[in-house]
Amino acid sequence: MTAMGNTEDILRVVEKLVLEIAGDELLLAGPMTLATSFNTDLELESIEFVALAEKLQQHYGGGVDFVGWISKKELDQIIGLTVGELVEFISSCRT
Amino acid sequence: MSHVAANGVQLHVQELGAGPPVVMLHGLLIGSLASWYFTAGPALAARHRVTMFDLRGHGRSEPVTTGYDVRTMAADLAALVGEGEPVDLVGHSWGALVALRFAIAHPARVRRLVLVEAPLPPASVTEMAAFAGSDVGAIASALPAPMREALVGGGRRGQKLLASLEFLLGKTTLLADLAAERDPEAAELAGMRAPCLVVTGDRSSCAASGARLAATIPGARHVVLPGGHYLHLDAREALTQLIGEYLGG
Repeated sequence: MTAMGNTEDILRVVEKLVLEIAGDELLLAGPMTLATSFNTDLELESIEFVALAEKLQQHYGGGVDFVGWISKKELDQIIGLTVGELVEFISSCRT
Repeated sequence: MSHVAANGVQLHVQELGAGPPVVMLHGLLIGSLASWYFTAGPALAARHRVTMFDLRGHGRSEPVTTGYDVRTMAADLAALVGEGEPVDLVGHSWGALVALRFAIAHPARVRRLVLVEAPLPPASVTEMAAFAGSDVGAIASALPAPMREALVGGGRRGQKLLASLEFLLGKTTLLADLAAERDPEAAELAGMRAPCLVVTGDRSSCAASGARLAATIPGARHVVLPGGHYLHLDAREALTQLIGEYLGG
C-alpha cells in the first residue's frame, strides 16, 4: 500500500502502470495528461484495462476499489473515461 | 491472481469478492474475461467469490494453437476449479457450451448453471459465421459497436484486435474445432441434475437453441431479455440482476 499523494503524483503512477501494461509506444503522442482518454487517446484494450485494475489494487491496496467504482458506471461512461477521472477517484479514496 | 497453469496451458485468471464460488466463462474470438469483468462480474462479487478467466488463446492467456473444442476447454476449466466445493458456472456463447459440457462430465462439481446465448448447433451463431471469412467489413459488421469502431478506425486497439483474430482464425485449430463440434446428446441433457437458467436475447440467433435447452434440461428456466448475441452488453443491467437473483446470496 502506498500513500495516495497529490494529483501529479497519482497521474505519474497511473502513467507508469499503464506503460507497464501497454508499452512505452503509448507515449509517442506525448506525456499522459488529466485530459487523456483511455479509449480514444491511449486505445487501451478492455483486457488491458483489467490489468490496470489489478495493478492499481496492488499499488494502492483495497482502499482504492477501482472495480467497484467502475462497475457503477454505464458502459458509455467506461468507454469515455479519462485519466483525470481515474486520478480524481484515487485521490478521493485517501483517508 | 494473474496466471495459472491448467491442463498444460497458462490461463489468465482474475478473482473478485468472497463467498460461494462462481466461475464465469466468455465467448470465442472477441471475448475475454473483460466481457464479465465490466458487466456482471463485480455485482456478483458482492456476495460470491467470482473467478473470471481468459479461455486458451484469448485475452492474456497463452496463445496455444490447438484445443479450442468444447471438451478440451472443459478440461481446462476442470483443472482450474479443482476438486473442491461445487461451483456455480456462468457462460456466454462458447463459454456456455464449455460450462454445459463440464456440468455433464462432472455433475458433482457444479452447483448451478447459467447459460447465456448458448449456440446449438455450436457453429450456428450468425455472428460467428462472419469470422470464418477474410472480409474485414463482414467481420466488423458482426462486432459490438465499440469493437467495430476500433476495427474500422485502424488505430492501436483495432490493430491488436485484428492481430488476435488473425492468430485465432489463421494459426490455430479454432475454426476446424468449431465446425467439428457436435450438440450434446439429448440423453446427456436430460440426465443433468444441476439447476439451470437459460438466457437468450430477443434479437438473437440463439433463441431456438435456448428454447430447446430449456425444454430438455430437467427443471431449466428460460428467460428472454431484449438484445442480440452480445447480451452482456445489450442488456447489461437486466442480465446482471437476473444472474444475481438466480444465484442468490
